[in-house]
Amino acid sequence: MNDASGNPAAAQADSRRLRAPGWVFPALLLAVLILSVLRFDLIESLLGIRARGLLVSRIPLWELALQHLGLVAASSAAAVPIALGLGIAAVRFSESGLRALLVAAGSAAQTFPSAAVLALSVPLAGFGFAPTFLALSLYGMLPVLHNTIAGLEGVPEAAVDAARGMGMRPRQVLIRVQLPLALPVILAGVRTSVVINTAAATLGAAMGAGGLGLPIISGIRSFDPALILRGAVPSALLALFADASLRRLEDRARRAAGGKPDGRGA
Amino acid sequence: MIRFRNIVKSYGSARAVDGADLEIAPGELCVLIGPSGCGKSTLLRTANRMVEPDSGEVFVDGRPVREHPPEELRRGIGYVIQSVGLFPHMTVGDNVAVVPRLLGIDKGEIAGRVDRMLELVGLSPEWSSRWPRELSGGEAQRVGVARALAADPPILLMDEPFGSVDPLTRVRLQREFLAIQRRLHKTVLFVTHDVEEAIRLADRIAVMRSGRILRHATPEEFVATDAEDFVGEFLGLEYGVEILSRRRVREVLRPAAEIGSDPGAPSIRAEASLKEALGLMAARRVECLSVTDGEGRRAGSLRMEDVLGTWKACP
Repeated sequence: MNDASGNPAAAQADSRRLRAPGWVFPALLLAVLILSVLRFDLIESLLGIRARGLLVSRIPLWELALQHLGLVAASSAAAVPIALGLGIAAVRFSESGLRALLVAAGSAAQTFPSAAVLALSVPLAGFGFAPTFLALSLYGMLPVLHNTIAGLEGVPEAAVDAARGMGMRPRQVLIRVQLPLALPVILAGVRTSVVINTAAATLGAAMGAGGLGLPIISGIRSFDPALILRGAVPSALLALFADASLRRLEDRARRAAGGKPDGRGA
Repeated sequence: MIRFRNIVKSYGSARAVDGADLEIAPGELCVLIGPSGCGKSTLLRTANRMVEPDSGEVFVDGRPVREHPPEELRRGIGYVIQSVGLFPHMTVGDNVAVVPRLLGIDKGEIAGRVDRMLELVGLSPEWSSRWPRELSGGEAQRVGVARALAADPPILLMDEPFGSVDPLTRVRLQREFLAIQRRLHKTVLFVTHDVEEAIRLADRIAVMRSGRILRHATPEEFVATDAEDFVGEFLGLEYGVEILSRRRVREVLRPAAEIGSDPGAPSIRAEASLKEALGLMAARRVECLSVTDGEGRRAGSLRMEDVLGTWKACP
């Protein structure tokens, strides 16, 4: 630790420390994100542009960002467990046709534009937070469902056969063998879902749900590119942050599933 | 101990097992052998209800297996498969501990048992903290055997357990498994398509074809099989030589006192098999070998007639 000279083990440990730890990139993105919503004027002066302010909302940018985050978090919190449950059921009762039905429905729904999903949910749920939440939840379920099915079906057959042959009940096989081994793939689905929904949530502004889509819509109406950036930049940073931090979680699950010790000790 | 009575199992229009009868006595190692697709794996899997037969009945300890809930039945039967199926997200120790944990055996007892099982299959207890991805094929299969034995089941089902390792490792695993079996006296049903493996391991061999057991006998009894029928053809003409691998040189050697020295004769260990002795004779074109004991001292000599017995003269 305190003396690295001539000690190969210590030198190796040092070179390992020189590589940035996994949390540095997400933390950096988070810092830039917070900075951008608190002091967007800094970014504007950096780019040499300025919103003309014709339609600038009275709501501060950080509040819009929190609204946005709330929408994404709420819809993902609803979408992930439901899609996970459906995916598990689809694989477990694959003979019943549930799997075929869900995969077909999922694939069809994925081709449907998210803007249309949002618009169509208005007559169902009215105006504001509810239709946006509903549409984002439905839309966010698709990648999770797809990856849950793919992940569970990708578990080595030998492991499942051995688990059953040793006397695990179906639920034990699922919880102790299938889910831990499918987790990296499932988490990749969660990541895709959250990233897509972070972008799609900007459309919520048109439904009256607020969020970072508000400056974008105002910017489009007033032909003010700087104002569009005011919504687009934080929203993109939020998506990047979500992607980076979930990817880290995914790597950790992948190491656990492959049995790689996670760098501690060794 | 295990009895299959008129087992029938079809997949679609194909009959995988077509009226198979087989009985395995307690403590016996029965090798079920046959060409690919003859239904041997399917038959094996009816014993722990991984496959439910369309008709017929499997008895374990005199009781029909369908009277046991499948999970409880399986926890009492060791199960080893060709692909091993170690859980990649668990350490070697946790893999071995799976069935004892399912049975609710207490933690302290399980830790000791994991170490004992690893030692039994020739791995030191330090292996317990390793991960399956760090193991070679042979090591993984040792862990597979340790895992199957961990709850001390009276019965073992082994489905081509050494089928996917290299020939040298396979022979070593077979030898070690045989040593374990001589200590533990499990009732074993062992599926393979490798005749040599069957000869090395079996107390009895059952030959299967198209879903039926054609013949069930000791390896020695198969020597007299008519070479023209399926069993003879499947075992091959070399069976008569292969069977020599079941006997050791020390069982038939002539003690050193009985005969004079034969200088220049190639030497062979007393623990070698008669098949190896015959191989050496054929390679060196000699009729006589000098036998050495474990310390390299001369223990006697071996002549070709000791290996092959008496011969019928040509007409």
